[in-house]
Amino acid sequence: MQNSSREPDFNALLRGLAAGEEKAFEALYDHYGLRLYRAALALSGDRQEAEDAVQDVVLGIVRTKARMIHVKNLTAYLFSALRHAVSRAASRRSRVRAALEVLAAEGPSSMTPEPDGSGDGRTERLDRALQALPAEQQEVLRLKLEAGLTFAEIAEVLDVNNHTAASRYRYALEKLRARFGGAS
Amino acid sequence: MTASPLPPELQDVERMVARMLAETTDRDPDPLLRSRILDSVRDGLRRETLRSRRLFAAAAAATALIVANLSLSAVLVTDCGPRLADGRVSVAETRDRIQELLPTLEAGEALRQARILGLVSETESQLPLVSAPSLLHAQGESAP
Repeated sequence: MQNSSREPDFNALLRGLAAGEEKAFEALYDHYGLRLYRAALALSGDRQEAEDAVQDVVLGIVRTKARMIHVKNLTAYLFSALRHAVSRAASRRSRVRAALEVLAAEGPSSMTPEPDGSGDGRTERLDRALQALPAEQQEVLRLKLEAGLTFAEIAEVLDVNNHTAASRYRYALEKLRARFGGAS
Repeated sequence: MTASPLPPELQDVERMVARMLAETTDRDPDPLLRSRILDSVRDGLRRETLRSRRLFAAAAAATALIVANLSLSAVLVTDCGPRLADGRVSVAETRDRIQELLPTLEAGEALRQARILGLVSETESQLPLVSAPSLLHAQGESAP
């Protein structure tokens, strides 16, 4: 996947999206695709859900393209839409999981996934440490470090002010520091 | 954009966590995701275009029906000239009126115009009055 680091002309991009130009959608994906995917993966923890969420966001723009001309901050708009898409996917997943639990309770099943034992100890330790953080701190940390959003963008996405976003990030790092006993 | 810069010990943690996250495998999506999404975009844009065209065609057809019906109604309530006892337009009287209104018009042309008005009046009286909703309803029933 490409992820163009060169900043596009956002006004031209928004006009292109509003006009339904394929090139504009390609430019959008090339500039944001990887960041959106990584943010979705960070928020959902599931590759398939992350891919579906990115697809939902882009196709959502196709459906409401005329409104794109009124968007002030494209980055914030996209990540906000992504957050909603991930949240919808999570709610679908919990319904499916509940249904599977009902099926499992009714009899023996081979549907429960086996732990694959993959991943090294460091990754698992980090995962556990991240999971132990309050959800709002974990969200800020992942959006900052995995999706590469600025605090201003995180603030827009989470509908909080910049200071709150920065504070949550700082608290998260302090908790990780305490947990790891200092950076190695 | 931080409210205040991180102290050095937190900067170390930040670097460490960023490095560990970057080392995590499977951080990139399926290489086919781009083409899959852009194919869906193309399909979506095509469907949107077709939908807009259908809506435009339906709106244009409805507008044309309403205009046709209003024109017909206007024609039916417009009297074309003096009428005889049986309801037909009197060509001679109509010609005289035209000449009164336009003295410079030649007598032959005034007569021609009077005859046209008479013919129009007779045609109109044979046309049924149709309401726009019934026309739209009929159009909807005949649609596939």
